[in-house]
Order: sequence, then structure tokens, then C-alpha cells
Amino acid sequence: MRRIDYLFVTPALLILIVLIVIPFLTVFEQSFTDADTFTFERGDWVGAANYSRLIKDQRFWNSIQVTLLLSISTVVLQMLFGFALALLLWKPGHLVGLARGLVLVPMVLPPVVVGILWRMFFQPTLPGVNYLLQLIGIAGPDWFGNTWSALAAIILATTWQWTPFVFLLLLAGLQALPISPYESATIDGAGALQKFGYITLPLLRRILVFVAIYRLVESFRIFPIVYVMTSGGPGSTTEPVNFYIWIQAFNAYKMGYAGALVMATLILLGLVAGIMIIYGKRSEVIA
Amino acid sequence: MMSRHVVARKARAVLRLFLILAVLVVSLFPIYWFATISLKSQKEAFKTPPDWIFVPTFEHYQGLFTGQVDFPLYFANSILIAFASTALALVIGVSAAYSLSRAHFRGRNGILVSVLASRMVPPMLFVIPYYLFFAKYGLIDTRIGLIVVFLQFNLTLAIWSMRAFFDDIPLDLEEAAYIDGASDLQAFVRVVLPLATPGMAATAVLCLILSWNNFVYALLLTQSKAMTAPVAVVIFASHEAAEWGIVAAGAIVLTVPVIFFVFLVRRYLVVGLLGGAIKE
Repeated sequence: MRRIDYLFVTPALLILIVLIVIPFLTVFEQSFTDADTFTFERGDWVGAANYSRLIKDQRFWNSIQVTLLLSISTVVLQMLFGFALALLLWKPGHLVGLARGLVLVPMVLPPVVVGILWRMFFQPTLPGVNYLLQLIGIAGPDWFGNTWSALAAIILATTWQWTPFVFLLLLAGLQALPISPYESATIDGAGALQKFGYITLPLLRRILVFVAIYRLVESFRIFPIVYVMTSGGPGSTTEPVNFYIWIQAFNAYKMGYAGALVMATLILLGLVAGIMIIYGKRSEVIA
Repeated sequence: MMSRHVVARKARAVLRLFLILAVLVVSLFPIYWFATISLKSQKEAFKTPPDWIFVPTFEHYQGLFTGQVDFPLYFANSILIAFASTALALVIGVSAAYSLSRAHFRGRNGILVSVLASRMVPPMLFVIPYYLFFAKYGLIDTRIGLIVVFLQFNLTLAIWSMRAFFDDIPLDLEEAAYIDGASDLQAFVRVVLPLATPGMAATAVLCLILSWNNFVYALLLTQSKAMTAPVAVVIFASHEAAEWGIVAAGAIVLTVPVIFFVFLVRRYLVVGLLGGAIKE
């Protein structure tokens, strides 16, 4: 190492230790105490009590289920729509250049704005979604009044925002594909479907898996959209685990317990990521 | 007479055009609808069926900047905090990324992997200890506190994406500078940095966007003085009798700078959004 490297790396390292390593250790330590949010003392050691409470906590497991449901369903929908959109806008044509730019707009909106927009669009008292449904003869529900329609609204808003992201990466992947396999396939008399199944899909497999994993990890962070659209309601039925941790830490003021929830979430997240990485390595999708 | 082949091709082209139009409607109509709410009076906004053509009123936009809530302050806070945190992240992150790209020392990969992993961790992990620390040392509702805390994502983004840019700059240029008698610092400032300018610009804009959009940290760590615009708009929206027009106007004002920033870095959008998680 040159002298200059010590000078360059040290400040960054100190900041990362203060902002990332120490907070992580603090939460880990707290998860074994009964620390609360008002007294800034360490709290008394309670051993694994928070963790055994968590295992029996119905609301925690419900929030895990909601997180998994939202993550998996939105990622599957984003992948399907994003891929379809990339194929639609792959080759040049009328409006294609313009559309490639305009479809990206939802992705660049601040998450808070996406939440507010769809909350208003689904609001039964405003002439939004329910008005449009009424035009085709369907009586729309009170979207945020029951669990399934509230979840559907969140899924729709999230999918709407992030489909362009999948589209953007897959379009880049499609445009980088070599031409020669398609030319030989045409000579051999292959149809469009055969080309898709035997050339496009296998060549894109790596990037498809990568994008799906990336979006899945990102989707576990879901918070602003839920906060704005449903605040976890009705009841706590649409509450993802991030929201429940928030409630425990800053509404119930149970810092110690919230810490245990964070640790359990990290373990689950690590497990999901680990399984996918092992699967990816085995099928040689990830280098 | 057209052959069957030509007819089929024309039909496919028309179908494709139709699908493209449908996609554009799904992407953009909700935004258009939302914009109309911000331009209608409260009474007009509730009217069913809605008027698609109407005389717009700018009362909500005026209300944002003249009403009882101090939206101009929150907007200014957002700008100040985003720029200050981005500047800090660049000064510290660019130099660190340069060393991490050039020097090979023990623990280097460990640092890089932890930087990446920390970007995937849900923000709830960090927000609890930040809150405790802020409360203990009187940092709640201060701009400086938020500027520092935003380094959690800005600095990691700057390190990770700038390292990718530095890796692409060949070593030969620095070696030539050394032969000419330049010191390590001179070679970095005069030779490497100018070449990394596009990368720094893209990184800066992405840091600005992340800071501008941040909700969780700002919601918890501010109350009024240091509150940022996204939090303010959400608070408008959560009032009992929400004035939808003002909420929509606030959300649109919030969006304009982001659209502008994105337009500036559209070429780097793919690489930047992934935070350098893959290299091309």
C-alpha cells in the first residue's frame, strides 16, 4: 500500500464503521435486552427471551407471509410484463423509440409519490379506478377496506413502478444478443416461437435470473409504498415485516424486541439469498 | 392484389402498434389522471364522471408555497441535504474507491463485499440505532444529522460504482506520469480524476436521487425544522380531511427535480441503478 492509500481509505472506513458496523452490533446486542425507546440505557439482559417470543408471535409470522407474498408476486409480474415489454420494443418500428423512453417514467418517480398516486387512484370517492371499472360495468370494491383488495392495490402499484426496470435491463440484454444464431435458424426454416424458445431464452437466462434475484432482494425493503397506501391496514393484515419492526420500535417502543425482529429478518433474507446463489452456481447461471 | 404473406405482416405491425399504445396508456394515464387532480378544485376533483377537459386552477400549487405549512422550507431542506450529502460522499468515496481499485491489501475484498451487502440490508436495521444515537446526542431534527446519515447509502454507492469506473482506467497512464516525476497524489489528481469525470457526474446524480427520494430516515429523524419534502407530502396526505389537490400538487413538485436528474444521466441509468452490482 502506498502512503496515499492510507489517507484515502481511512476516512471512508471510519464512516462505514460508525454508520454500518456499530449500528449492526448495537442492534444485535439489544436484541438480547429489554431496552425501550425512551430510556437510552442499554436495558437489562434477558437472554434469548425476545427470540422465543418472536417464534410464537402471530403478527410477526403474518408480516413474513405478507412480505413473501408481496415480493414473490410483484417480482413474477414484473418479470413477465418486463420481458414481454422488452420483446415488444426490441426491434425498430413506429413509436418504438418514443415508447422506450416514456415507459420508463413510473420507475423514476419517488416511491412516496407512487404510493400517493395509487392511493388516490384507488380511492372510491375519487373518479379513478372504480370509475373506470364502472364504465365496463364492474362495481369496484372499497380497495383499502379489506385485506385482499388492499394487497392487490399494493401489488399493482409496485408492479407498475418496477416493470420498467426489468424492461430496461432485459432490453439491454436483447440488444446485445448475437445475430448469427438467428440467421442460421431462419435458413433452417425456424419460426418465431422456435427462435424464442431455442435461441433467445437460453441466451438470456443468466440476465433473467440475475434481474429476478436483484428485484427480489430489493423488494424485501418495501416500506414507503405500504406506509402511504395502507399503513398495514385493515388491522395489521397488509403489514410487511419492515412495517412491523417499525411499529415495535417506534409505536410500541420495544427496541429490544424490534432488534430481535431485525435479526430474524436478516437470517431469513440471508437464507433466501443463499439458496438462490447456490441454485445459481449449480445451474451455472451466476459466475 | 396483396399476397397472404404481406397481409399477415401488415396485421402483425398493426397489432404491435396497438399493443405499444396500450402499454403507453397503462404507464402514463395514472400520472395524467393524478396531474388533473392537482389542477382541479376540491369540488371538481370529486365530480363523477370527471371532466377530461377543464380550465386548470393553480390554487393548490400556490397553496403549497403560501399556505400555513412551510413547504418552501421542506423543499429547501431536501435540496440542501441532498447536495451536501452527495458532496461529502463524493469527496470521501471517490478517493477511497481509487485506492480500493489500485492497492491490493488484506481485507480489501472484505471491505468491498460488506459495502455491497450493506446496500441490500433493509433500512430498518440502521434506523433503530440511528434514532437512539440521535436522541441521545440531540441530533433529532437537525439537517447535519440527516446529511451524515444519508452517507450510509450515498457513500456505499459512491465507493462501489466509482471503483468500477477506476478499474476501467488503464494503469499505463499513471505509470507514464510517475516516469515524468509525478507523485502519487499528482498522478491521481491530474491524470486519473479528469478521466473519471463522467463517472463522477453519474454517481453524483444517482446520490442526489437516492437522497431526494429517501423517506424512512427523514420520517423518523426529523420533526419540523429539518423535515424534507417527501415526508411533508406524506403528512399532508395523512390528515383526516386530506385536501387531495394539495397532496397531488406537492407530489408533482417533488417529482420534477428527479425527472430532471434522470434526464441528465439517462446514459448511465442501467449501471447506476444497479449500484455497480454488475459490471458490463
